[in-house]
Amino acid sequence: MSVAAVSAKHEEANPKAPAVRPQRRRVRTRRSFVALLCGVGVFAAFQVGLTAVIEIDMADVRDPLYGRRLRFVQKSLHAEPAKPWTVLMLGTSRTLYGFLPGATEKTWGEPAGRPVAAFNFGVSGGGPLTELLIWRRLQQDGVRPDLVLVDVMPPLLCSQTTFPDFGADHWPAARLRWRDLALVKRYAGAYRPGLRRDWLTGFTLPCYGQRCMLTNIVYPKLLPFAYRLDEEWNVDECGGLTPLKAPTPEERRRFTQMAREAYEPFLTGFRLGGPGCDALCELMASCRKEGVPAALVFMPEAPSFRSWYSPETLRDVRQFVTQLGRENAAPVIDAREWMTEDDFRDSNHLLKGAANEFTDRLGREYILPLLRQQQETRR
Amino acid sequence: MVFCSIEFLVFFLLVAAAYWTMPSRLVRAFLSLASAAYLGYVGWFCLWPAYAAGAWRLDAFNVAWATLPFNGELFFVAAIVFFGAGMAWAFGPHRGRVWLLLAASFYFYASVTLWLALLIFASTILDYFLAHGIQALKTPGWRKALVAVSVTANLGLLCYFKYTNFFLGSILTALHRHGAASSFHLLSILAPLGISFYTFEAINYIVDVYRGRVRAERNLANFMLFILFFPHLIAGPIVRARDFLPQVRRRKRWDWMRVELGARFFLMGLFKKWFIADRMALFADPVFQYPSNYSGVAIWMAVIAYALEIYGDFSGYTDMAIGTAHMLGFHLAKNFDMPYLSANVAEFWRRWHISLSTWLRDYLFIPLGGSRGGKWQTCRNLLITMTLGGLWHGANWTFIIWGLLHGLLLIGHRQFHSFCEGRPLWRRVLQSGPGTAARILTTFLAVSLCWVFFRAQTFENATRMLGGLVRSHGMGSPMPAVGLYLTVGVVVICHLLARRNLWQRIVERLPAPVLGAGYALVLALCLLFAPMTEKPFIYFQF
Repeated sequence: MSVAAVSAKHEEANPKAPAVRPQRRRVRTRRSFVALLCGVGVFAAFQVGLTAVIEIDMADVRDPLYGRRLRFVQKSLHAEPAKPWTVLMLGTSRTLYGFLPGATEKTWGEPAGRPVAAFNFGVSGGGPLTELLIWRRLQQDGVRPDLVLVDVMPPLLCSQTTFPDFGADHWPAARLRWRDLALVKRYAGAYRPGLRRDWLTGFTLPCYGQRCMLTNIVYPKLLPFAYRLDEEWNVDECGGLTPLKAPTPEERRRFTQMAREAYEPFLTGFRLGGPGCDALCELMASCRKEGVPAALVFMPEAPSFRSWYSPETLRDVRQFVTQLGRENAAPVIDAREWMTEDDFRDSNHLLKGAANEFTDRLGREYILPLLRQQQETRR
Repeated sequence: MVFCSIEFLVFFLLVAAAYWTMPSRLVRAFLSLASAAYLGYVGWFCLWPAYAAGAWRLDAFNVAWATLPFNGELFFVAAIVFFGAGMAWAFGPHRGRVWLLLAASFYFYASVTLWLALLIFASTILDYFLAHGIQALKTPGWRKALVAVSVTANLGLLCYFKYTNFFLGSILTALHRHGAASSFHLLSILAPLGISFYTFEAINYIVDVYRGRVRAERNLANFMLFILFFPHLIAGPIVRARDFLPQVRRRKRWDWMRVELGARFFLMGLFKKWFIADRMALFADPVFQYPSNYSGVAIWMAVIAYALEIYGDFSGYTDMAIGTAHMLGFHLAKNFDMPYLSANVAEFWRRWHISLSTWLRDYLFIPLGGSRGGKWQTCRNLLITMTLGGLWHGANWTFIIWGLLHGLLLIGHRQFHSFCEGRPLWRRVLQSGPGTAARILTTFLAVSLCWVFFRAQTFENATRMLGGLVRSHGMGSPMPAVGLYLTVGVVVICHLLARRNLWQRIVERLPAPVLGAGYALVLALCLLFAPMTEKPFIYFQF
């Protein structure tokens, strides 16, 4: 038992008696004071150091997926001798698994006049708000692409949607930068109370705030599978993750049913509006202001998924997107009917072969003409 | 609000700062002015928008309130400090401190539910007056009657909040099993947090006053602080009036040694909770939820993981409570003493949840006759005590079975002990190094298997877990096994170091700056291994 414990017990038993010899007590007291002071000092210094390292040198720690992709884009932007066309696709998980430029982009170089570097910026669980956030980040990081493709996912343009892609699950405070907070607060302030406080906690106590990322770096096996970022560390040079493999018929039926339960209520009782529409408008307006050509893309959907739309829903969404494209001089690419049921895992996420096919067609029919058009405009 | 949260840290730092600086008049004046200014600012900040919105709109008030830092917690802390400082001006700094802690404790509890906090407040006041009545009266009959009133009131509250639905549910199930229709339904009851703990504290106070071991506390605030003191209020340790009340009366002095000791306990508790318990929950929870899906190896791993989880969780809470109390100048009794190093079940109960096992011994086992009667009477008393101990933990048949199993293990140990009495060879073998190791391992396994009933939600789930221990097929562990091995390794090393007091000797010999750096490292490790989603303490449900 330590002296302090003995002293405490002794004092309780006999409050008037001196606890331990005064001189020894003085030494012990000073030792305790120094230990506590050093403890606080070392801890604070460690946190400050770690914060500095994370903010200055390890941008990947906050958001590894974005960090890796950014690095590849920047490398491409500074490529010598011929700077390639840089094409980015912002989007949801449909983009993440559906746009695989790695296999086909090399074939686009010759018709485009110079090499094309296309990047997938799709985020699982993303939506218009996430697309806007990624776009803002790219602007802040000095990335100016030659073409931006924006994935339009109709269920997320619904005013009564319960898919807040700025939710804490997809965008925990630790994953955001300081400059992201204003945007998240503006669009999702109502369901993200205490966001700034959480962010500041993570910033001042990186050991706590960034524990998921730090453990992922040091020893991911200590984490539950749901928090492992093995895939995000291993994005390919085009920003894509491992493509989806074909499911068994039973799995496909189950996944399709899950997708139906998630989306159908919004597609039948659809009311256009809400933060999704606002964010998409802001994103397109920003691209126009920056002079970056953009296009709106309806990603492929399986016949079953398409059957869940009511005619009114489809009409409203088409009208809105067409109008938005017209206002911002952005073509609308409708690829909803390009694929068949068997090309999907769950009626809206493309399988590997189909994703390659889709990307190739998108490149040939839309990306290359848009790039050529730009080349001619510049001449 | 729980110990390992930012809210608690802010609350505790502010309350402790006010508590220790209160004797200085200058600081007290500053505290009074600063807290009053903050209260005024918040009042203006929240009330003005409500007034400006027209006719005192509550929604405008709520919007303004939601923007306050820490969801308005600082407002309540400021109110507590203002109240404490006011009491210190009126009755002197010592009384001010007691009232400050009392207000802080009330807020700590009321932050969960206000109405239940008021209920405890009321029952505490009743016990205060009953204790005075017991002390003042001379007639044994009346004294007994007052004890009966207090014990009935306390146990009545406990039974109503904790066991009503259990008994109603059991009756309903029995009726349905026999094909009978019933017209009554379960009630919608929210049990106050920690009701089992403060009920036992109140009962031990009343009984001790009746037995003349403790004098009824004259000061209401002192008595209420004994029951409501926030470090031990929700999950113990169960404190005795004769240990705690003298501490409340004594004036406190700032002591760096004590603060360091408190910080050390707190860090140790945090480490146990976040590094051990919450990590082990990742192995145990999914398996206990769907035992049929997992293989025998995964189930064994879950059983071991749960044994470590409950130890880390409960002893971690206790360590944090002891540490917090030390930092406020109070000493709470030790509740755990490396229980998994016990060589038999009787020893286990002397090392596990010590405050509960001594309470059960003093207020249940001994009044029942203890081991004074014959062999059968002792066995009966053990069974009754342990079964009621199991029921105390929770209103479920699984807890009763858990208690019963421990009672049977204790009886088995007594029989085996008397069997070995006249056999020196057996004793020598069992007390040798390997023999002791085997006894420790056997006790650990027995206790761990009993935990299955404690953890399982239903009796069927518990039997599925036990039945699955020998299953060869099924899913593997829900987490990579390396996490379990690492944690087991850390626990074993810490126990070995602590067993021969090596830990203490190392700490005493380290230079102070190195010791401080060690504290910083442990804190950093705790934060790094904190769970991704907050997991409440297991014993909060009791």
